This record gives sequence, C-alpha cells and structure tokens, in this order.
Amino acid sequence: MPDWLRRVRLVAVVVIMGGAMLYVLSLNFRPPAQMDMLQRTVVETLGPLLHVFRKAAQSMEKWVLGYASLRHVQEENELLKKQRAFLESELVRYQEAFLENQRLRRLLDFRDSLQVETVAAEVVVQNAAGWSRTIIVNKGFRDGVQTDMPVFGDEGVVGYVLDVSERYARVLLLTDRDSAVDALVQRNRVRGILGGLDTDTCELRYVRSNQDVRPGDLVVTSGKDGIFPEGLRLGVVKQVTKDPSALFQQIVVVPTVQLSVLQEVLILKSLPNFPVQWLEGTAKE
Amino acid sequence: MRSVAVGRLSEREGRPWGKFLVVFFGYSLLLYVIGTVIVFRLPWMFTRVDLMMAVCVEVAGRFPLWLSILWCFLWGYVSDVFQGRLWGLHGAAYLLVVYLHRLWSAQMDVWSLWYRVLLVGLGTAVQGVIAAMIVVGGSEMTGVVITTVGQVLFSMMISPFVMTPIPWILGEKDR
Repeated sequence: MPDWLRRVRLVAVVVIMGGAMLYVLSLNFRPPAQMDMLQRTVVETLGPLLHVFRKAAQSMEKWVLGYASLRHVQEENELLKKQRAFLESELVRYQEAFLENQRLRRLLDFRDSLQVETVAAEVVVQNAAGWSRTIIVNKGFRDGVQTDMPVFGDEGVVGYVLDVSERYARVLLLTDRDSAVDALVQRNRVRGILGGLDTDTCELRYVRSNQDVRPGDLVVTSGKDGIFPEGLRLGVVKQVTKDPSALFQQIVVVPTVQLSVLQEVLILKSLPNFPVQWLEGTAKE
Repeated sequence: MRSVAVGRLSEREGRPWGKFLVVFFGYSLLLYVIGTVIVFRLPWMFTRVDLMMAVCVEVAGRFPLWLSILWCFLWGYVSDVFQGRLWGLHGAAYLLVVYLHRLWSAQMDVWSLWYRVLLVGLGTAVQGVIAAMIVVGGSEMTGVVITTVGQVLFSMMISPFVMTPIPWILGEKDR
C-alpha cells in the first residue's frame, strides 16, 4: 500500500472517530427533544427484543418466586397437615372420652336410681355377626356375676348373662334367636315373647292376630319371666304383618339399645325397685 | 507482542470473520440483554455492573484493532442510548480498555486470566468513578467509593464467566 494512501486512511479513521466522538459527546449538551435518527434506530431495533426478554425474565422471576413461595407453602402445608392430623386424632380422642363420659354418666345415673347392686362391665368381644348374638364382657365370678343376670345398656335391656368365667361373662343379646323375654306392648298391655330375628331386630311372638299392635308401640318387659323386672324398655314396634289365615301376627321390633355399637353395660346383681323414669310410662320420651 | 503474533497467525490461517461477527453482534447482544434485563434489576447497587466491560477486554485481545474500536463505539453508543445520559461514558471506558490493552500487551501476558480480570476491574472503576462524579458530585464520595469498590470486585468476580464463552466461540479451545 502506498504511503499516501496509508496516510489518507489514517486521516479518514481519525476524522471518522473524532466525528463520532464529537457526535456522542454533543448529545450531552442537547436539550431534550425527539431522538435523532441514529438513536431511534437503536431504540426501535433493540427495544422489542429487550421488551420480549424483559417479559420472559419477569415471567421466569414470577415462576421462580412462585415456585419458592410454593415450596414454602408446601412445607407449611405439610406442617399444617401434620398438625391437623394430630388435632383430629386428639379431637377423636376427646370425642370418644366425651361420649364415654356420657354413656358412663347415664349408666351411673341408672345404677344410682336403681338402688341395687350392679356391676359395670365393658364389652370385650362383640359377636353379633355370627349365628349367635352374644357379647363377652369383662366381669365374671370374681365380680359376683352369675348366669341369668339381666344386662342393661343406657337405653334399655341388652340381654342376660349366659355363661360366666372367672373374669368374663357371655351375654345373650335380645337379637339372638334363642333369646326369649316376656314382654308387653306398653300402650295396651298386649303380651308376647320377644326373641331375636336378625342382627338388628327382634320379633314379638305369640301375639294373636286380633290384638291391636301398631308400628311405634313401645315394647317393655313384663316381669313375669323371673329374670327381668317389669317395665324396662325393650324396643319399638317397627312393622306389623297380619295374615288372616294365621293365628299369630308377625311383629318386628327394633331394640332400644343399639346392640351393634355397645361398649359398656350394667349387670344387675339383684332385682331392684325400678325408678319411675326407667319404667314404661317414661318410655315415650 | 503475543497479540500481534496471534494476529499474524490468524492472518495466515484466515481470520474467522464469521465467528468475529457472532461475538460482535450475537454474544454481545446477549450479554447486553442479560445485563439490561437481569443484572441492572438486581436489588443491590454493587451487583449492577456492566457485563460488556468483560466482553470488551476479550474483544480488545482477540479482535483486530479497528474492529475493537468499532465494537467500542457501537456498544458504547447502544448503552448510552438506553441510558439516555452520560453520553460517551460507556464508549470512552471501552476505548480506554482497548487502549490500555494495546499499551500493556507488549509487557504483560495478555492471555493471563488475572490480567484480563484486572483490566475489567480497572475499566469498571474508571467508568464507575466518572459516572458517580458526574451524577452525585463530590458530596457523597464515601458512598461512591464503597459502591464503586463493590462493583469493581463483583465485576472482577463474574468476568471469567462472561469471558469464557468468547474463546470457545472463536474456536480457541486450546487456550
């Protein structure tokens, strides 16, 4: 390359660079106005790109913050779930204790009102699903329990003691097919024998077809069987079926005691003078 | 002058103009966008550093002089346009870095990472101090110095990460 051309190129570079520097520096002293073409070109070209990246960055930032927040929420959620599970179990425990308290209070009231010697027992085994409707309670010979002793729940008759061991007793429930309790319809004193029908219901047997028995009638003990005292609640008539050709009507009775969820019972060690509220007259309540 | 030697080597092999353009536009634009969108939005003042300074050091060491100067003008101007004030500050700082690199390349190992990182720190310091002096004046020099030192340290810390892809783009993996 000739020297003059090299000099010209150098001068050209210096001039261009100097011009560019002067242009840029001059921008510091220009009053605010519309951007010149060069600035507009830069801004209009890169602006959309920066906008897009900014949006993307904001979305990512939001996502990251959301994720972090979510992680925090997740941890908090786990903690709250644990706390909730603990509190639920506590609540169940308290509810159980409350219900148990209520049941025991009713039994206690009942025992106090009976003014007889009773033995409170807990149900250990419930065998209501098989053919035999019996329960095992945790009181036996040692506690003075003997066979044929009446067993009550807080709502009425449960059954009677069938077998006794040293520390346990088997109770035959009202719903057992072999159970037989001399009973009366509380409203009109119609008499029959209450025996088991299926898991949850009993049948009032040997009631003649011309006797007036209606659904809703309360069935109570008659006191004539030598086991149960008179007037204790047994169940409520659920269904009455009369067959003109049959001698007896079919009467389905639902026990007043929920035998399938029984937990505590009272075993009567002697026949008492029953208080008024436990006798038939109050059964409607 | 190793940079000249490298330049001569590049000339013999044929300069990788395509790769130069990738760094000149593509990578620089990417860094500029990252700087504008992310780094400048960070909550701490000392983290708001100019990522282009590290690119500038790499460009000064690897590009032909005229392309380096062009790069300084272009990206300095772009930075100024989006900043809207202190016109010429970015470009001047970039040009200073290129000048210092040309000045020191005869005596120093220009491929040393320490050298390049120090150059980035120096450029950031000059840029920061001048900007602070112009904007806040001499009244808050303590704050200016603290912020500038923080920015210098932070820019020196992250500059290796910014510079590393450039030799890779230019196909200088052995270096």
